[in-house]
Amino acid sequence: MPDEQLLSVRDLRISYRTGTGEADLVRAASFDVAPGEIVCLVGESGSGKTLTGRAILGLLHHNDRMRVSGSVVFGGRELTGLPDRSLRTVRGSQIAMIFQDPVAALDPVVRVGEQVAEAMARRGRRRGRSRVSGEIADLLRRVGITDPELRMRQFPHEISGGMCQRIGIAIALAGDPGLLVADEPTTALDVTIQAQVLDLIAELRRERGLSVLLITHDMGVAARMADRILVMYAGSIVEEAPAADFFVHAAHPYGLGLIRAVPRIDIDRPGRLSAIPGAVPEARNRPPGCAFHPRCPVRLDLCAEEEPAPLRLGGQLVACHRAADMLTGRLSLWDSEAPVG
Amino acid sequence: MLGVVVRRVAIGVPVIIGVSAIIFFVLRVLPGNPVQVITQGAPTTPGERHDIIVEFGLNKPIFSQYLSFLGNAVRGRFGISFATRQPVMGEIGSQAMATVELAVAAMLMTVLLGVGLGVVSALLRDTWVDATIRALSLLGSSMPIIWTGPLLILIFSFTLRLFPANGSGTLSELVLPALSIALVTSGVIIRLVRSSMLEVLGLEFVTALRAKGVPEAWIWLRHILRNALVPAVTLLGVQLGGLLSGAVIAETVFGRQGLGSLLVNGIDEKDYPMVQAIVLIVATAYVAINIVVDVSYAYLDPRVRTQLAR
Repeated sequence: MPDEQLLSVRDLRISYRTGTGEADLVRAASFDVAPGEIVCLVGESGSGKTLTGRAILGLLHHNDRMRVSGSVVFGGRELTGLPDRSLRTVRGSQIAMIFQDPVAALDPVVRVGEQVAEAMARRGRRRGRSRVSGEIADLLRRVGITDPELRMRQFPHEISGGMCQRIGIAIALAGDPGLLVADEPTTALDVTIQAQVLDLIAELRRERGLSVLLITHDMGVAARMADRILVMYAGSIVEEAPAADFFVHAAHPYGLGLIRAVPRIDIDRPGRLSAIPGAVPEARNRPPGCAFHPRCPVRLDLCAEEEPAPLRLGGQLVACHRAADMLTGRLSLWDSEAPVG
Repeated sequence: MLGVVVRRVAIGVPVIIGVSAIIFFVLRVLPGNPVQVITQGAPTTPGERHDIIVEFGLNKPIFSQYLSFLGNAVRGRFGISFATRQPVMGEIGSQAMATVELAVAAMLMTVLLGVGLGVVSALLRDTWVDATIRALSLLGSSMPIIWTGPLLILIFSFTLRLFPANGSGTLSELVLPALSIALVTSGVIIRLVRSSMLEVLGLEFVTALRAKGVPEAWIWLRHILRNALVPAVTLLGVQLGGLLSGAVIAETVFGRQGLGSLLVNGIDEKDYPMVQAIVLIVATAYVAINIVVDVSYAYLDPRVRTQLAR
């Protein structure tokens, strides 16, 4: 099956060297993205989602303290270990990225049009100035920017955040990539703008067969967009499932916790928001056994001792000692006062 | 943009008037008798001395002397030199170019050394090259011109015989005095360019530029340097004060002609009109250049431009 995949990540490890030793930020993450598929990488802040996205593009090279190992294969080509010069031919033209803070992702002192042009120039074609600016205008129009000729001459601070994110998407599309890594693309935007940007991404997928790795902590976004869900916790992928299965019966207590933490107007009564207690442990203070066990309502003694191996259950891949019980519905979390222990 | 210039000029005027008051009154507080300068020490009768005092208006109340000095200065008249009995503007005019040359050369060297070494230092950060540049920049900015000047003469004139030790007129005679000034002024620029480039390097848009496949050299030159220059230009404006005072000292050390040596002589000789004129002209130039710096700041940073347009 691997040759059907556009992107295959195997055993990705990212560690950070500190004064006293190394901390594992991402531990042995493996996943695939198929052509035209939208895969959502979900998890709380600090779980390693953003690092995973950046590692795919080799963007962690520039930090001397980061060490990346494992394999990232894109379109049949191994990217890990490639020198920066070769990676540059991948970045933008094969894998592109959009960022969480759309204003910060643009150079404040360079006009927007030039920043889009930079992403186009990568393909080594020689074109006249007016043709290039015509192409930029077309691209901006495509991502829903009205009056592109005016916008091109403006600076990022003169443009709204939503507009900047559209520019970010235009920059990402300029190289005609096969995969878009979208790192929390709507988190910094107003709710109405969020919906527009998500619709645009979905549309581009339909139109161009673009694959998307969508990194988000917002389960609403994931439910709306995803074909497949990857749940990341403390640097590990703890559950992988088709979106349809995941939202009906998540098999990992953490995945289910994330779903249940979203307030629902039709079910929840006031004062009954189910948050997962506690926070993601820091990489240096990772608990032994299953990293989630201190926060898990259905933990066993075993969970503190042995790290669960990923287990395939139907279409789902789950790293949890209680996954089978979860799926058969013998466990209920958070809604009953007494979790089964 | 025009509004900025007008506003800055409005702030500059009281500054210049303040400078004129300080220099006018301080000169008159200093010990020494200008009449002796005017008569050049020749024996005089009390009547002759009285005539001189009246001729130069030194008998009038000091405030009315100040007001007439100010009124004439606005019209570009700075009076007659006590020492030469010639209009001071004539003498200043014949010497000013030498100082402007020196200041411009020192400014260019400051920019070249400051930005150039700052970029190299940031690119090769935490290597021995970076450490050397930073150590030298600290050394350069802590040594006074009266010390680095003779040092440069010793190395480049007497030992290496590359540049002449003194004189003014040719380009090669400009190198050492300009360098002695630039060593002082560029040190801070080097360190500021380095640190602001490294600060920009950590910003998200640099990662975004890499993610779209822009070559690293282009990222540094077009984006990081451009962003890092914004604070550097502001500092450059501040450094101009040091540049002008540096020029005065360097002219004396290197035996050059110019406003600096004219000013030093003027102070020695109690030549009030000469000193007043030079100080006022230099202060006006300083204010004017700072207005130019403010405008170029807006050019470099479009965010400032937008604020100013409001």
